[in-house]
Amino acid sequence: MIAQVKSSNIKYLLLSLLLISLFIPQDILGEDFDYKDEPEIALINDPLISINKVIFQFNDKVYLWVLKPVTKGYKFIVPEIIRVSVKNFFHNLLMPVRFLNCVLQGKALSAEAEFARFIVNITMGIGGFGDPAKKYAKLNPDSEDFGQTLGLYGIGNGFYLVLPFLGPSSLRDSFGYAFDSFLDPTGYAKTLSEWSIVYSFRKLNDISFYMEDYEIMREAAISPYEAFRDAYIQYRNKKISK
Amino acid sequence: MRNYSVIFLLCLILLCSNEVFAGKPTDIVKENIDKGVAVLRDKQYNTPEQKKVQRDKMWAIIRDIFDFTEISKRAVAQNWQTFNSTEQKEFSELFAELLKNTYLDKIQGQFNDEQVTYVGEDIMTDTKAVVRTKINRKNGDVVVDYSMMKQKESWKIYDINVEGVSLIKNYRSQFTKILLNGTPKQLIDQIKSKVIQYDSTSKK
Repeated sequence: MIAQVKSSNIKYLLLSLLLISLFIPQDILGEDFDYKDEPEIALINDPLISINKVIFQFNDKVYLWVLKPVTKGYKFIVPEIIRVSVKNFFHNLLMPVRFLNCVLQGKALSAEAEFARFIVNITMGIGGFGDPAKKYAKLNPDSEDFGQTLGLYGIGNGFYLVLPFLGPSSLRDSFGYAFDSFLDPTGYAKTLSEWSIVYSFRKLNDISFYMEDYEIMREAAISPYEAFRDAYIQYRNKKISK
Repeated sequence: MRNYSVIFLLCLILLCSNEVFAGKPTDIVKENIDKGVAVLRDKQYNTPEQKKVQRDKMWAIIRDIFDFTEISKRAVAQNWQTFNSTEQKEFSELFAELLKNTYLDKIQGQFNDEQVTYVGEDIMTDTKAVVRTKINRKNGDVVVDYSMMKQKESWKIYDINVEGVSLIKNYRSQFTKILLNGTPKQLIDQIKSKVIQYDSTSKK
C-alpha cells in the first residue's frame, strides 16, 4: 500500500517536473526568445593575448597623443573635397591588388569591374582624383584582398594579432597584407624615407575619415579589447563570405 | 441584413490581418529615420540650449522603434536566466542608457546631411525581417542592416549590423567574458560606472 502511494507520487512528481521543464524556460525567457537561432559569436584563438593587449594599449595611446591631434590639424587645414580626391587617387592606384585577388577568387565580373573602374577614373576622373565611376553600382564591386582570398581557399584566421600602428589583424590577414603590399605601386618608392612619407600621408588622409568611428567604438565598449577583436573577426568573416 | 454581415466580415478580416496595421518593416524604418533626420536638420535646435531638447526628441523616436529589452536579452543570451527580474530590468535600462550616451551625441554632432538608400528587405518568418540600407557618406557607403521583430502591433529593431558587425553579437562577446567569472551584478556595476562617468563629464 505504502509502496503503491509512493510510486504514484513519483509518477506525479515526474509528470510535474516534465511539465515544469517544458514551460519554465519559456516563461523565464519570454515568448519568442530565440537567441539560439542567432549564429554563434565568431571566435578566434588568441594565444598572444597578453602581448596583443599591450600593443592594443600602445596603439590607443598613439592614436590619442599623436594621430588625433595631427589628424585634427590636417582636417582643419585640408578641405574635405581635397581629402576625398586624395583618397580616390590612392584607391585607384591600388587597383592591381584588388584585381589580382578578384582573379584568384574566380570573380571574373568583379575583376572586370575593377579594371573598368580604373580606366574610367584615370581618364574621366583626371588621373584618379575624381571618382565618376561611383555612380554606377556595377563598377563598384566589394574590395578584395589576399587575406580574403586565403579565407575563401579555406584557410582559417590562425590566431588574433594586434599589429603596432596597424591595429587588429590575424595571422592569415597579416600574411595577406604583406603579400598585397608587393602589388602596391607606392611600395616601389626609391628610398625608405620617400616611401614612409607617401605611406604616412595616405594613412593620415584615410584616418581623417574614420577618426570618429574609432572613438565611438571605444567609448561604446565595456571591454574595448574584446569589442575590437570581435568586430574585426565579424567584419572579416562577412567580407570573405561575400 | 446581409449587407451588414458582409461589412462585419470585412472588418473582421481587416482586424485579423496585422499587416494592415503593423506596416511593412522597411516603411517603419524609413518613417522613423525620416523623422530623426527632420529633427537633426531643424535649425531651431542650433543653439546650445536647444541641443538638449533635440536630444530628447531624437531619443523619443529611437525608443519607439528599438526594443531595448530584446536587445539586452540577446546581448546577454543564455546568461539572461541567471539575472533575477530586478537585475534584468536594471540591466536593460542601463544598457539603453549606455547606447544612448555613446551614439546619440555622435549622431547629433556629426550629422552631415547623409542620405539613406533602402536596398531591400528580407522577410525571414512571419515575425522576423531584415531591412537592408546604405548610408551614403562622402567617402563611401556604409552598409547598415536592421534586424526586426514583429511584436503585438508593430515591428521593432532588435539588432543593427554595420558592415557585417552585429551590435548584439559584439556586446555578447564582451558580456560573456565578464559573466564567465563574474555575477550579473558585477556586469551591471560596470555599465553603471560607465553611465555615471558619462553623466559627470557631460555636465562639466
